[in-house]
Amino acid sequence: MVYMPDILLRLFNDSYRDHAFLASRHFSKQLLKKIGLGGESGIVFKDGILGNPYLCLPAIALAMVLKGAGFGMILFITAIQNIPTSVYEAADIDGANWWHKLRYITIPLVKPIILFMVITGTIACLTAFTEIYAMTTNTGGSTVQVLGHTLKSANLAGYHLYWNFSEGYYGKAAAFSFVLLGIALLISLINMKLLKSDK
Amino acid sequence: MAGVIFKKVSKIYENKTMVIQDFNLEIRDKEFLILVGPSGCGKSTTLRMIAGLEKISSGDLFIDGTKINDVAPKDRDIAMVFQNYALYPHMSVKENMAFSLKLRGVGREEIEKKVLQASEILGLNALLERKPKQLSGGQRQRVAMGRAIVRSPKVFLFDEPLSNLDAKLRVQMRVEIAKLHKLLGTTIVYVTHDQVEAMTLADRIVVMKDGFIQQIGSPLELYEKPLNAFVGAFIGSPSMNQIPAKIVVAQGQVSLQGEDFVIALSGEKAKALENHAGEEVLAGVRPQNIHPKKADKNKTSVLREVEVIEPMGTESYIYFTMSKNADRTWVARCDGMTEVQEGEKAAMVFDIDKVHIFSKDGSKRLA
Repeated sequence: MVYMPDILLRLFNDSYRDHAFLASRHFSKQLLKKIGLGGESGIVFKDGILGNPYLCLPAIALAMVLKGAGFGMILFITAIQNIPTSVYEAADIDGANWWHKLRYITIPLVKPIILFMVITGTIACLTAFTEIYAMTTNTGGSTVQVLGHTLKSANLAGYHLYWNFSEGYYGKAAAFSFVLLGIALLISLINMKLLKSDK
Repeated sequence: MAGVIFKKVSKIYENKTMVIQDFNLEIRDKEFLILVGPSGCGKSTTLRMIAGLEKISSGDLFIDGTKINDVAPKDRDIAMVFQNYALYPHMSVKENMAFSLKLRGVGREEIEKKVLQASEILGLNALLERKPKQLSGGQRQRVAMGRAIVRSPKVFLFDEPLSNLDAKLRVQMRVEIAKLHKLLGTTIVYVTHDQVEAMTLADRIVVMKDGFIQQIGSPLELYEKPLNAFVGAFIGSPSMNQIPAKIVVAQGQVSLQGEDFVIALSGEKAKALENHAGEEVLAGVRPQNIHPKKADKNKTSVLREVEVIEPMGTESYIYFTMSKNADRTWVARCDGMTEVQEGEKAAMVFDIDKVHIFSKDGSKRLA
């Protein structure tokens, strides 16, 4: 899987090997080089953004947002396209401008998708492991700043669960997983209450 | 005054499709005008141009004497009822009706008053707090009309408002729309492909085909004197029977001759067709102007086998083959039960003065 992009690229055109958007293996290095942020020991990794406790967590959050953006976009586009054109035309005749249409029609009608995205996003944040592990452990950027406290990245969300488990604190890991479940349920209930669809 | 005037209006889509061509029409103040025609004839596009939902490619459009080519839909002072109702699904009936007033900054009390007035007229008082999905088709249609009424617009636009309703409800809503027009006295432009709706509701009907106006007139005018074969066939149900024929004048007698029939004409018709001797024409007869009899020696009848009888209670439809050349089975309409039987030969007696004669291609009325 790791070498798949390279194999495909070689099959198509060897000259595209360095193209940042087509080779996932080269993606970060090439992209960061192109925007002047350097390589492994540059601004992003060890001594850079991920090494800075104040910037590390926002960087992880950004990575997670980017990762989920495509899926969210498809859901939102589908929901918006399902709103009949005639409803917007009726609004045009009723005197609505673009803001009125967004405020009174589009947002209320995509509320179920907003609810879904908020709940799945919240659960993803609470159980986050991959992004934190990949962006901190191997680069040495192991401390993050949360609400004025400097924490080890191992204290964050799903990674904390993994850390407890890997260190043999099975009971603590199990308890923590229940706490996460409770928080996720609570947040989901609040969201469902707030974003209850009127449709 | 809130008339609508089209002056040489054309509509061409980006892919160069010409939908409306050189459209000239004057819709009078307080008139109930119906645009009717088959699918794709441009009637809905015409309505949407009045609403401002379609741009006019060329020509001018006036509402109440003001040129509105480039005026936004919200500033045209029109209200539209859509085919699929286009209600806001997340709003209650009351909110749907109040939405336009709210956007215009009308005070809460005034909104309340207007919504109640409209709901009273349409019998929606008990449904004001319901959401559209909790309403039947007819109730939704009434809400869509209520949404239009509260604004007291200069012109009401209806885009096939009854086509999503079942036959029974359609009749009921048709009556309600007619009552509404009488009550409000507002100019109404109404689009339908159903000629029965057009005939029963309109002050004037505009029959359209392929983006062109075929005929403008009162329902009876269109029915009695269609200007071409298309209008003749489109208006009236069951539709007009038509057949190619030839005008023959022999010893002063003008006759309509087909491959396997001859019908002698008389009176006004004969006089009008005297000068067309030898000409190929298209003859049209409405079903109620054919009377199947057991026997008749009248020159205006032809003997044909009755193929199918459809008894409807108050009337019966009798189907027969007029000629091998006719493109479809002819139908005669009789009051009550008919005296003829299926499978027997019957004399089909024509009301000669009601026969319509068009040019061979059907584009022009001759008599």
